[in-house]
Amino acid sequence: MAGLTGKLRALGWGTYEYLAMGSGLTALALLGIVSLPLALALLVLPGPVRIPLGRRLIAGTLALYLGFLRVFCSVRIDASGLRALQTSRPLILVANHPSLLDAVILLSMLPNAACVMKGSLKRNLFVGPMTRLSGYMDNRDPMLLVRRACEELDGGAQVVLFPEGTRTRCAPIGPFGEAAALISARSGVPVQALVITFDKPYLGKGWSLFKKPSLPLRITVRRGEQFAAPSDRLALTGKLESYYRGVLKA
Amino acid sequence: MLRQIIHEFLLSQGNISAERLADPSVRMTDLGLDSLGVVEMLFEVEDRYGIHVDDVMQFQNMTLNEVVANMEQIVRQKHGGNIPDMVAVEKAPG
Repeated sequence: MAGLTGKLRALGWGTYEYLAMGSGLTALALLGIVSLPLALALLVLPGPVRIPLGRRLIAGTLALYLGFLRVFCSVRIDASGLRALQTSRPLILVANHPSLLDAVILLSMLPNAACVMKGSLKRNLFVGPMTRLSGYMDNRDPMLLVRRACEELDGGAQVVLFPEGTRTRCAPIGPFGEAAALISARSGVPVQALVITFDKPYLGKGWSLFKKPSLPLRITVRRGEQFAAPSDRLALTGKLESYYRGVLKA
Repeated sequence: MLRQIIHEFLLSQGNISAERLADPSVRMTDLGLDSLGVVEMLFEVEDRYGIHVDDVMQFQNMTLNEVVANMEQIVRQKHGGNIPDMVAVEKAPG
């Protein structure tokens, strides 16, 4: 009898996990559909008005989506460490990248952040207009990226980037690119490490959008060490990579 | 002077010897300089001569001589056909 109850409970929970995944994706799609025309309409505004507005719109939209995941999908997110960064001085924020949800969480809480993203995302039908609206940077032209990032920092924004350049391929962390260190060396702005952990894998590299998660899912984002602007980009990149290797193995 | 700035930058990378730089046909990629390394080198020249380089990608497959010639051309365009002796240090924000 106990075995049967257990099986029924597992079946019920498994069904809930599918429903939670489906409703989460639906909520994201609906938010995308609603915000897309708004983003397109706002693209006509001049940069100084458009960009802060776009960043707030993105932060608000993503916060709504995460609220939905919290309430209906058993996703527990502790990103309280990011609150202190909302009003902080310009920083280069780097993070490990275990899941597609990483950027969603960071950008929902940092309305003054300029994110560095893959060039291909700017051409994406849904994501493209939002990223153009917000003046996010892509990584296709490294010189332009460093210049733009320095301008953003000079203008008081924070620059968010994932030094792995893609979601983590090989746990605990993939090889780091040197862009964060070069931006830091050039701007004189320190690099703040953010450490993202998931208690179970979800939407990591190779994880299909339609593969159900194992719920509840607990995600934490905490502030790690801060690294002073370097004179040597290679040295800082090495330091950052070994720092992440250390904290994620612990 | 411009060649010297580029040489000094490359030598400061630690893994490039003066002997390699003596070969004018050596390519940036042969020197192990990745795209960000090229960017850093170009910033070094930009800062000294107050120029602005647009297309960084073109430099990656160039030989050292070609890089120097291209940079000289950009500097001349900016400074009315001359390469100034005195460097105009124009550092980035921060």
